[in-house]
Amino acid sequence: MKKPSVKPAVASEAGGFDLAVVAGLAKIAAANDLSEVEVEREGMRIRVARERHTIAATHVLAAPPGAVAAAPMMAAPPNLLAAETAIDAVDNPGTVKSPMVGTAYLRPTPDAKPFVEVGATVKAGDKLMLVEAMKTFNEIVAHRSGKLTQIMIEDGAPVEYGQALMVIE
Amino acid sequence: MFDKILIANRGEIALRVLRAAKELGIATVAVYSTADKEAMHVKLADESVCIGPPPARESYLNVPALLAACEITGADAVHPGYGFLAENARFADILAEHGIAFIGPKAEHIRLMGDKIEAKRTAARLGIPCVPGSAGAIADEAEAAKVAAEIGYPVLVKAAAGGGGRGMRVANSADELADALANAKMEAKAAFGDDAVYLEKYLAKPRHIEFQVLGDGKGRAIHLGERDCSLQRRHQKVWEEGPSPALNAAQREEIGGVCARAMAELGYVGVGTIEFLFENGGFYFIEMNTRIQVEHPVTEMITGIDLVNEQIKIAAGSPLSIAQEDVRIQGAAIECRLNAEHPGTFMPSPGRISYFHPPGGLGVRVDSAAYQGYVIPPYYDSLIGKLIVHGRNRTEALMRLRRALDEFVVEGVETTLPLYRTLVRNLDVQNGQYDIHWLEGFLESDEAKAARA
Repeated sequence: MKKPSVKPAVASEAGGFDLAVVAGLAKIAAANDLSEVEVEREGMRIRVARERHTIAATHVLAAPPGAVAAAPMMAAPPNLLAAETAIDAVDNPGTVKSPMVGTAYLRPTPDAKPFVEVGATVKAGDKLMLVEAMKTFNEIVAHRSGKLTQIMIEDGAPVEYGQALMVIE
Repeated sequence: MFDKILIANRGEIALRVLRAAKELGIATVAVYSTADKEAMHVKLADESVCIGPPPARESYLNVPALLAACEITGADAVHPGYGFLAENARFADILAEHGIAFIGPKAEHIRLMGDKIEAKRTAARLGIPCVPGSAGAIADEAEAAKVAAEIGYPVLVKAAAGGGGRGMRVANSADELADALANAKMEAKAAFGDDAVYLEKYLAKPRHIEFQVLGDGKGRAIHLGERDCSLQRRHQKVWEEGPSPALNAAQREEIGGVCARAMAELGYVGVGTIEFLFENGGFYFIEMNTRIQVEHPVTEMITGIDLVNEQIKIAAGSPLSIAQEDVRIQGAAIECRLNAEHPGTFMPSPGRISYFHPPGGLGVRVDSAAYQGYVIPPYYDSLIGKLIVHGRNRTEALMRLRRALDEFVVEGVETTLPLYRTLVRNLDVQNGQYDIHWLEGFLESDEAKAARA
């Protein structure tokens, strides 16, 4: 699924240090699995570094010097990491794929516990989540028994036909 | 104006709609089946949603999936293109119930013109000349025989729920009538689920001439001239041109005027095409298509009017901004439909386009979603693009078409390009001397067979 480009957030300045920018850069770094993001504007340079826990992302986004929140960087899909994992999952027979277009819910009601959590043991036929379209909720059940190793989508995320939702190994 | 249009179609028309939406600054959502993941319009759209597996029934015709896609993207309008759900009144109704605009005519007019018997009745009531025939559905063989005797053989038995040339049988004499009736009913029942049939006089050598209309549903409607689509194979249009080589300005103005006034009276919204058979100076209404058509670029080239742009503006509530006196037909345009088919046998030829070089230059337009490396899926129709040329007169258009066809390279799949190269060099075609039977006759001729060898 292709989503619209994220519009750059307007930074708020508070006495020299632009904390909103720093927070924004940290978010970008995490979302795109970057080890380092650096921007420079009007003589001020900000660099955010993080420790990467997962496998290297094949797309390394260099922050161009100049305006904060440069458009090319922002144009990278925010769920790139999810996309990377999804590529591995698509051919995996343990992948639970969405049979329909709709909104995914991981809990039966907003304040209830999620149907399943990562690490749980599931049996074939167990309820995993709901996909809702036009006020109708459809149950997604496990197609096989095993251990739930991945949940690729967030509660309330839009999903498309064939999208990888979870992996049962 | 709309914020976001969901394009409920695929291929070249989806790309066409996307282009119009982008030019209006409207966000675009492409929906696609898994087979169309690499489609050009999917790549270019702002957002895309996979709605199902390859079969159309589970994807492009899947109303719940389309609605869900509107829901998750927040689309406030749907453009149905042509084919698929473009003339599905129920789909238009459902969208309306969900507060989503349908970029097309009112559901009641889709229904009206979808029933070919009702369409004819309405046309007659609105002053549009019709083919002599039965008043309505034929009740039995006896009635068929009576009507046929009145209008004179040969007669055509036509499915009320049909269209596009399907569900029709010719009876050349009274002896053939019973069989024609039975076969047409059987085919109609199987194809459309409705075996109601009506009778029409069968015209021997007519031309197919259709008029483009545009209405805003607020009492204003105009015509944008005609297209001559006589060159057909198995009722599929192969070559379309405008203006028709067979009409003069007076005829155009007369029938065009009748069409425009009829649409104004009906309160028709959006684009539509009124199709006629034209023989011996007489126009005979056959059906109306309540959608944007494949061959709409022909009209766009000779009038300079962007029809999809007008569709979107009118659907968003704008009144018609063009007056009839502002419509000028300038020069001539010809369109060739490029199909991924063997040029001799017309067998479908899906697969990977290994080399794609479309022609360019003044007056050359290629409406195609194909590109080098694109894999044509086997699940849908074989139309991969349209080549449209425009010239200051028909001769210039023909010379330009010949040049453009020779420049066009498509490798990796079979295409009908060779057929068009032959047609553009044919004397009858150059002289505009053809009727709706001409092409099939030509394909059986020695000249065509030699060209295929």
